Amino acid sequence: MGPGIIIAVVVGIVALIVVGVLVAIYNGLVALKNRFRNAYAQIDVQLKRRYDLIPNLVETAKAYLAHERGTLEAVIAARNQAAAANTRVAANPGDGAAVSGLATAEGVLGASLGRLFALAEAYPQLKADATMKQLSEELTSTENRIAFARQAFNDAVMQYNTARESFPGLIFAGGFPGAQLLESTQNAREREAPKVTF
Amino acid sequence: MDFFAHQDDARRSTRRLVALFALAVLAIIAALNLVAVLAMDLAQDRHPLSPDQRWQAHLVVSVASAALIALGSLSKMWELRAGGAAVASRLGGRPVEPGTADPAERQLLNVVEEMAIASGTPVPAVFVLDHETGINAFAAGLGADDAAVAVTRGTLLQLDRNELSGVIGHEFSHLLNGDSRLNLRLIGVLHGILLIGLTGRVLLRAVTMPHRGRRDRRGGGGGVVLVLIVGGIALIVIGAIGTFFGRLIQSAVSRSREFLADASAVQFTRDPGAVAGALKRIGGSLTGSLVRASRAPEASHLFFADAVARQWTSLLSTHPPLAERIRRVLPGWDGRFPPPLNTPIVHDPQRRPSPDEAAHEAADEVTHAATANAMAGRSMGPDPHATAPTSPVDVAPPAASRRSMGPATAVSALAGTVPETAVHDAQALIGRLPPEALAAAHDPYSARAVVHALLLDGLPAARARQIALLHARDPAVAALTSHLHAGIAAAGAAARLPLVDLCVPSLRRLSAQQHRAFVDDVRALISADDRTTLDEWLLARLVIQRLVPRPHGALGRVHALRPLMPAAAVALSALARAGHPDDETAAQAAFTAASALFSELPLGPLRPAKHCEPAGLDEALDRLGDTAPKVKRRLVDACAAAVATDGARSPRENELLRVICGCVGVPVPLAG
Repeated sequence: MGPGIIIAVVVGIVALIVVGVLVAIYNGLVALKNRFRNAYAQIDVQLKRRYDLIPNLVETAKAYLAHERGTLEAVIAARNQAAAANTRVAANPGDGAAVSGLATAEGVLGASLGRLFALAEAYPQLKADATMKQLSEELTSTENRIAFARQAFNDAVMQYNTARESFPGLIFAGGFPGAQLLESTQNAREREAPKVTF
Repeated sequence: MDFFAHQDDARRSTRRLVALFALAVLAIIAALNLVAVLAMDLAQDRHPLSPDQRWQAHLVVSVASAALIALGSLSKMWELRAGGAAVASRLGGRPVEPGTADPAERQLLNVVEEMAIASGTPVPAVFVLDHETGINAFAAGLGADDAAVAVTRGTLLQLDRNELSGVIGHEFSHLLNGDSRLNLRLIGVLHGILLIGLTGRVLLRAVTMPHRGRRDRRGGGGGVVLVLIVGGIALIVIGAIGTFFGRLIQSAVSRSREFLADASAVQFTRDPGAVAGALKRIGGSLTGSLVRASRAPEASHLFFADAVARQWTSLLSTHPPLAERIRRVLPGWDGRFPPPLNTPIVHDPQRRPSPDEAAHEAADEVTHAATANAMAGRSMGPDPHATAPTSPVDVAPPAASRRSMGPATAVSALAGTVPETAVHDAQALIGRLPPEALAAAHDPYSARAVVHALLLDGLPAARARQIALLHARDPAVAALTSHLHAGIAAAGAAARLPLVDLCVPSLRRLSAQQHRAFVDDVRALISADDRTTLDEWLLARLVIQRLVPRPHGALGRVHALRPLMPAAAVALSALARAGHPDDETAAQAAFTAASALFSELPLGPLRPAKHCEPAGLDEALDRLGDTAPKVKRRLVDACAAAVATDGARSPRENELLRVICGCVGVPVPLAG
């Protein structure tokens, strides 16, 4: 058996193995990408709960804060913006611009909610209202869940980004755009607000 | 055939399939060599080859094709090692969030949860194939802990709850019988054979592409191109042979199991109309059960009904004909299919009958099914709109508090089945759970609190210590845990394992870091007080095990009972002591009863309490979990004897048994 044939066979087998390994790396990146995209679904569920709570909250507050319409309308507007931003991200969690947009919109919503709660401080009847207590309690619990889901999403994004930036995932980096972490959805003011006890 | 016999049978089938596969590979290599001979003869006049060279060429062809097949199979099996979820994603499945609000998905999750709790298995991951309008479903997984169930969009749109439960029952039968593991392995193995045809297609496309600059300029290019084209076509033809063998193997493995799965589905749902209804819907619908995903052919044996069009010979079909399946389940069928639906199905996401409704429903079930099937349309099956779940105070089961499960039905005979009343009992149990706990179980954040609450001690002082420990780690979760504790404790022993099984899908959504933190919390809770009971310890172990499935392998699988005696003695001693906490003589009696089942092998004396400490028990359970099915059967019966008092088990003892069986991989259904 000529040496040429042996070399050809060995080279062939090595080539096949290399191809196999490359395929495995590619599929690994695909799996990580799918994981972070699916992780967004958790955030989506919780955000939607939050967006559903807010109109009820505003309705309840309206009875007591009739002449603070500006604040209330600001909350509703911010909520609508944030809901739209969420829909955009849910359609494609890999879209960095959409994710940044959501973070911004959520920040605005947080600020306006903070103003609402700060305002409510001055109205003891509102504070004592049972519905109001229940809704703000649910809002707080939803905040916790959002933070938790966001942590899971960011963990998955980090894993994906790390894989595509380091060797050997680097080989395919071109076909896999980097993903964006979701910034905190609470700004300083809102971080205070849910802790306001009623 | 019981659960253990099914598992053994599935493993034997694996060996058969490997043999068939080897045959197929040999046939393919032979065919390829034949083609090589033809090619060499064709080029004989231009490139005469010496016999030596011909022989070398044959060697190259054989080795190369064997390597290609091996690589294809191994890489695919590697990809699928993640279990059912990997298959579901590859087929275009979208995971359903446990907390989903969509009514159709909620209904689907409810049905899956009820079936899982009834059978004593963790709730599998649920997927929806959004882009498929056909009515179909599949279940995949290497074991109970990585199982996945998927249904098509068409199923959600066209089947009512009863028919859906028939489909899900069929899929659970596959999961319980070990079919799903076999089928998963099959996909990997077959990929190697199918790869040859794929390579041929790629080659052909490469050669016939217009811009082949370098290659065309090579001297003698015409001959090379010709060989490549011939090679490409040959590979496609050979690939067709590979596909043929692949289909043959798929059908050989899956067809007989389909009848069995249909029969099991009838048993699980107690209603032949459920499965029959689904099959009839498929027959009457426009798209049938076809699945359009490009990877569907390689997984066609996983599905509920034919996912790819039936071949010219029924030998190659992965499923028996629809009509035959319907007739086996409904002997009196008139042969007519219902017309396609023109009004959308109304989904009832609430559907959990209250305990008294369940009793009525049980009686009416049979008559309803009969009359429903007489109608050509969809079955107006009982679908009571649920009354709101009763307040947390009223959680005691309707029947007497101390229920005896006599030795009449050996536990090993019950394992892996879903007895008559199990699904209804599961629905009733879910209905009795405190609504807060149920809602909490469907969300990763709060599911952790549910598990913590299940592990809290009975005594207030010890409990306070545990809560303080949690508070130091995460105050919000600690608050939620103590909030949920009262309701969960009141739900009783029978609700503990079901709650864990309900939480598992949500807990699987934890990221790696969150998961580590959770496991640390659980371990800390267990060691927080010195009075960890076996109940809590086993439950904690089960939760951790469910979240990090151990690799399944035939290696290390113990077939003989003798080497396991020490481990079995430790486990049985622990059970006997837990069943009779302060009564040494009673524990001894129970242990003796268990030893009697191993008459031919020495079990030794009741082990002292310190031998049954967590570390030793951990190791013992690891060993016992890795044994062959027929060995496990005896162990399960021995466990049942060890935990009982005078041959009867209280709800708490029953739960202990179910949890420890869960730890060694044996699903024991919900009883009464």
